[in-house]
Amino acid sequence: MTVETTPPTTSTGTPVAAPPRPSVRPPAMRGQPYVWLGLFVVGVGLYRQFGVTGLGDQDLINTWLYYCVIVVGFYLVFGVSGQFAFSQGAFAAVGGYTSAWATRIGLMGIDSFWWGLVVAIVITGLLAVTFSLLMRRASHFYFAIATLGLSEIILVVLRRWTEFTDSSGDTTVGIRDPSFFGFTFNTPYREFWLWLGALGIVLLVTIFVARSPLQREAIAGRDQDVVASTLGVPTLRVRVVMFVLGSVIAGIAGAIFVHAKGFATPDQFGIDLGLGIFVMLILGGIDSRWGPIVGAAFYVFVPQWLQGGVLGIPGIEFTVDAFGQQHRLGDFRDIFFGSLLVITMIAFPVGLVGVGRLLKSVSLDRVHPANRTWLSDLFGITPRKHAPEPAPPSPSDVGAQVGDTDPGSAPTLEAERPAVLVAEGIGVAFGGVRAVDGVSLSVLEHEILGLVGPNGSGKTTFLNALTGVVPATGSVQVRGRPVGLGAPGRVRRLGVVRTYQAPQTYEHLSCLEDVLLSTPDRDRTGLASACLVRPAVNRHERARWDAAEHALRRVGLGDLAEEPTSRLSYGQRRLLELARAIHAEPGILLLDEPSAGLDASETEQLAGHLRALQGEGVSMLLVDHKLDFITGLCTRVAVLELGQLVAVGPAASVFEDQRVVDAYLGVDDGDLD
Amino acid sequence: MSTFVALLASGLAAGAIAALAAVGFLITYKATGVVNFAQGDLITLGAYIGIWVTQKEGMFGIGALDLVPGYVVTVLIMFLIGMVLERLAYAPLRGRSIHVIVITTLGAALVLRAFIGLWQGTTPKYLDSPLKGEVLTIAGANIAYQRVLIIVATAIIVIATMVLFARTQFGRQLRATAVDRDTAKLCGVPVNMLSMLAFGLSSALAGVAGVLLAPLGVVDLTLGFNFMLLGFAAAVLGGFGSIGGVVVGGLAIGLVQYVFGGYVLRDFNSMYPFILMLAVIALRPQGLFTRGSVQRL
Repeated sequence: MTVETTPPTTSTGTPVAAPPRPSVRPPAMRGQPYVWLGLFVVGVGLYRQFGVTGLGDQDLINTWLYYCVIVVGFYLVFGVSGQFAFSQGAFAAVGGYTSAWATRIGLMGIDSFWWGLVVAIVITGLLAVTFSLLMRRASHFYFAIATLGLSEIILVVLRRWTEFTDSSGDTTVGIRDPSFFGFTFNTPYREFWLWLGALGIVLLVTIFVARSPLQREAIAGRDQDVVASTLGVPTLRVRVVMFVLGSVIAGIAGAIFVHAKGFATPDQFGIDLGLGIFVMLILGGIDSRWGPIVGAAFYVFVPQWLQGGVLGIPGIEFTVDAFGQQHRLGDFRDIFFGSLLVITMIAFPVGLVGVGRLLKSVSLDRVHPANRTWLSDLFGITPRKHAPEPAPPSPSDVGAQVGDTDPGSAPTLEAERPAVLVAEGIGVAFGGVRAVDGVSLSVLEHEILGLVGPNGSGKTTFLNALTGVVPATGSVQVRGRPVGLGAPGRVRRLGVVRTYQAPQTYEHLSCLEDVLLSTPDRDRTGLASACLVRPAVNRHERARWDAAEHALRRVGLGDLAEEPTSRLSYGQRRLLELARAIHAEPGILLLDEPSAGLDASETEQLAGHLRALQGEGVSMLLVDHKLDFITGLCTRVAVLELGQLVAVGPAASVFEDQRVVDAYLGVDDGDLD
Repeated sequence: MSTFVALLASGLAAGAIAALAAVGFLITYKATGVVNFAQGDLITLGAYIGIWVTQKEGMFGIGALDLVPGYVVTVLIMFLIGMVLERLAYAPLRGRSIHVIVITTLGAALVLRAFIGLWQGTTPKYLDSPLKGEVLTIAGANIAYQRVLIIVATAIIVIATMVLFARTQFGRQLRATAVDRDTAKLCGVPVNMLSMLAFGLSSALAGVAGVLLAPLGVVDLTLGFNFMLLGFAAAVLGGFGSIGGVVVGGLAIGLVQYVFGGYVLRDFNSMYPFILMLAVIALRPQGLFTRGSVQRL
């Protein structure tokens, strides 16, 4: 039994006259996250009201909530967006000290905690934006090291700049208690409500993010940013937005923390907190917003339990002799957590939430369809229905519908067609090797231009140059408008979309989301929209789902829309890339060996899809090795050899050209490798 | 003048310290492509093992060793620990994503630090220097011989490491493994052994750093972490991955911290190395002193 990760279809069966909704949607739109969030908040609140007896327990719960907030922020930065940031603790420090400072001096005449919180949000936000933009070229280790450096700078400043921190001997005291319409949060019992409110809001934001394009685009930028850029995803902006969002959440946590405690020291935000944040997220589960909650609970309550009991649960009274001293089990906390981190990464990288999900699907996934209830829908355990999908139109039909362009009939018009893509003198050099050497080539309106050449002749590099994936010289114009080279995503804005030689699909997204990445409709895709104008976001999203589903059906993957792309076969992933290209509504499509790895019938299907696209007015540059595939589709063919264009013209004459024959078959004197 | 000489000497020594810390993790980085974030805690461990073998009843009650033999024993123990670490925390994850491996090194760091805390307690300790705190006086400035020793030792280690990578069969095999592990294996390179040796060597250098740095101040749980950060800064400035560049990067951060920081906003001088590092990452991600294309880390 395979693990069911997507909750099943729920939006069926009720015939409503309202506007028809698409039947497929991204998995994040399934389930009832708002209900779960409400239940969680109410449940924790009720527990506080009726279950908590001692001050110690209340303090622990508050600490847990503090960690939850800060780690949820880290989940957005690291879990979703993949940015290796050690700066979460430092941003909490900035938020805390800024808020303390603003309320102490009464900035602009206001000394309320809430004003301090606003100032903290602004300052951490500005700092995070500046840092993220400055470090935009740093990747992986460099970014991690840069955030370590930033943290160190922040801590030095906070230790030494006593005018700002108002500290003596590293400790700032007398920080104002938060209050809300006369209700002062001055005891741990009362501060609890502040923490719970903050966590509820932060979790709500994660739901908004997950239910908007932002999350899938952040994941795409995380897993393959160059590909995402060429699809039209503004990867830099998404990365900055996610970093700033997570850092500001840390700043909020820090502000509440210092005001609740009433004092602050830089060490509260040092490297121990930084490592703890990693431990909590990884243990809890890196790919779920509940991961931080579970991880933080584990981190806070388990050591306390080992130390002699927590929340009324008796602990283990057990001591160990080590290094000549008696130790209680809780003393081994960090060894335990460090080992768990290693074991988690080795054995179950999905964390506790992931393991829970697995257990749930193994034990509960077999609800009989007849037993389906609102409860089983709510719990996401109703099995998928296996309604037969309408058969996708066979490619030959598609070709016939739009008028099978006979390769023989078109060339008469060729001279009159305008060029839609003009590349002049494109050159790419890798060290001393000129992989592409001054290639000039034009793609005409409505044509499929074939580009062939032996292995290593520079075909893919030429496409990479056009799409800005590699640095290149020369000039490109799309419909008369010049395009800058060297940065991916520029030609995409003018309607040029490409596919890749090895299909580049996103294994952590569903097929539908993968296709949605290339959406031409970029309205309401930002963070502010996602949080503030939900109805507009949902409206745009539904239209996008429709279009994406249509594209998937067209290539015959309609049934698999909600499946993760990792379940697709190689040939299906090629089709998925094609669906993604179709969804982009391109004017010009650059195809890099789309038939590689396909068998004869799949190749024939592919040809049908391409002809249909051509009939819709898409111009194409088709790189391929299968000559019959090329000659069946293309009226004109260009030939590359050793980075230079050796021939371009009607297919029939080009393949008789002696230079082309030499390039493919080799010449006798053997100067070709 | 004497102030300047003293600051210059401090800067040179700090640069050498950063370079020494950097060489350690660059060896594993060059051999396996992984930045080992546990390197700092290995340095701390080295210092504590140095204390363990040279003080009180020594290791396992065999009596305290003299300092120099104690150093040798420390470095050997650290070498073994590095190899064990490779087996436990790195080998099971080979081929997984960089993120996974880095997180594992964080886990290793946490375990090491907690282990040291349990074993040695959290009160600061001291390790003597064989030079007994003697000072060298140049132009009126006092310079501890320990700092001179660190500069000399760093110079020797950097040169030896460069020779190792560039001139020996071992170095060639390490570089080949880093570039393409599978191909190296097909060519008969003993890749498992190499990666164990690289971790061992790296850890042994952390041991050297630990015993040399400890006499400069107190030994506590954060000793190594701070030096590792400076090592990162030095490595970034030198163009991450270049052993020779580390020396230049180390000098740059030592001078900016002590010579520049000796005159401008003195209280904040310990942040200057990191400001310089961030500036380099922002403006020249390939490092200050390397030519060529941006290195994709």
